Amino acid sequence: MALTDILFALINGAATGSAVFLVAAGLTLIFGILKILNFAHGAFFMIGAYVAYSIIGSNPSSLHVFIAAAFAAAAAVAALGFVADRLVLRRLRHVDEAYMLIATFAVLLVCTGVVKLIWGVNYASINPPPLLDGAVTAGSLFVPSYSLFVIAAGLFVFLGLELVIHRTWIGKLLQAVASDSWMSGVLGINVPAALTVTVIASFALAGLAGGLLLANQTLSPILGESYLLLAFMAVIIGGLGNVRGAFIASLLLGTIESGSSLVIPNMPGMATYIFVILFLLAKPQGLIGGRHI
Amino acid sequence: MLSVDRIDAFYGDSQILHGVSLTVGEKERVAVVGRNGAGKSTLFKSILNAGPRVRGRIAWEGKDLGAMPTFRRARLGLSLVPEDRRIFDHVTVLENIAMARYAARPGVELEAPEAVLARFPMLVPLKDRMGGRLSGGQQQMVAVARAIAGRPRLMLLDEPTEGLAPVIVEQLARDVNTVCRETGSGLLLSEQNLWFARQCTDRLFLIDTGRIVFDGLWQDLDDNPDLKRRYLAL
Repeated sequence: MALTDILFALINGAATGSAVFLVAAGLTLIFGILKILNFAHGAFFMIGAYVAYSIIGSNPSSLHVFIAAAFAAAAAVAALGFVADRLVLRRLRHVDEAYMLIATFAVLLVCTGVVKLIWGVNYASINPPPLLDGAVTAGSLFVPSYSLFVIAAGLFVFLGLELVIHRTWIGKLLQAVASDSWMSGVLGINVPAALTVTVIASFALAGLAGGLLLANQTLSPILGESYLLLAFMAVIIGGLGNVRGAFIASLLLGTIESGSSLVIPNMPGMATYIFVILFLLAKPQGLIGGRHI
Repeated sequence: MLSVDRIDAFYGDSQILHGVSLTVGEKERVAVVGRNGAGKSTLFKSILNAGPRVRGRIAWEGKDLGAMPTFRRARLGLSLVPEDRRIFDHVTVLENIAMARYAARPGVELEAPEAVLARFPMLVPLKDRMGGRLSGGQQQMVAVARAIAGRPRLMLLDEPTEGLAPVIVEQLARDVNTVCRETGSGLLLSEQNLWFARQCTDRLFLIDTGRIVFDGLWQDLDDNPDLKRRYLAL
């Protein structure tokens, strides 16, 4: 095993991890504040990808257009988040959690069906935009530029969320609602509105991830499931609802995935599952457990 | 100003309050005293629609509050300081006080959080301390400061002296009296500490197993030593 192989595995792991984090970010945010495990998150990630695909087609003309399409997808999915909140989530805030799980699963099924109706069941593949379709080489090390873009996007979203949650007033307010929604209401904070804002932000993140991760993968109505499992694992290992924890866990999972494909190439995914099981046995509360997002 | 008319309150199937009625006028200071489990906290939470299921009429300024949610009641000028204080531990003392700004009534200008803090001399040096790093007495002071920061018309203070050292209790009594006088807020106080309740209020309701068993002035209670023995002795 050469040094370049290890370096490549590490960078590849960071790219996979960043992609997982992009999906996990919205998932952990909505859990942290509303305590909802949103099964439909993957479906909205997929809708984001399809919306971006409808804008840019299979060959995006430039990096700007590619990124703009991702933000358009974020806006479209955010609007769907508002609708989903009004129609489903808001009605289930005061009933048992099991109903919420079943309801979001139903939303997942509905979304998958709607995607098939609108975009069909055929697979589509999308090329990275110019500037990201090549690779960066250093000696014998070869890194696709799109991987570097995904790493940068993951970092951007992570730092953005950290900044908003820990440094701004709206973040502190949302943390107050997350840690003690009862007292927040007693202090006159409009808790239902804060929860709706969170749902919209979480869905926007799903849509953004869909647009940003669109290239280099097969777009089909089962796309939602592919990242969702890893994203769920990242959210659980990170300590449910904690953004920082989800970020670290995503990178960890990405590195394990990519490292294991180097060491045990015939058993893809195996090392990840073993890691998750062992981790949860040792530290069931996650990396950063607690009441805070 | 506040009128509670024959309310029943429930947690699940168990009924905690039975036909409780009370009124508090503008700027009035009233105590609700009774043993542990008598229903004092349930009464306060019922007034804010913050927990128990309530049957009966709770009116503010003559208007039935109906099913109005908690945060809207807070914005009418009803400010509850819960027994367990519930200071946010992820923000500073000053930011805890700033959280109360959402309770402001339309057209009422709030004091800056620093000015609110200045009313509680004990808190001034703690302004940048995180909420999670306060002693019980400090937490209680912050909770009262936070409640008063929204310029309430009626502050509901639930067992503030529980677990506090006597010297802190005296300080708290002085501060509560001063802020109520200076801000014009009324006070509904739940207490087991009769000394503290007497310092802060003019009249009282005696509550036992979810029913009001006496109301009157403190003097009236003194004239009925039997009441104290029956409802307040341990």
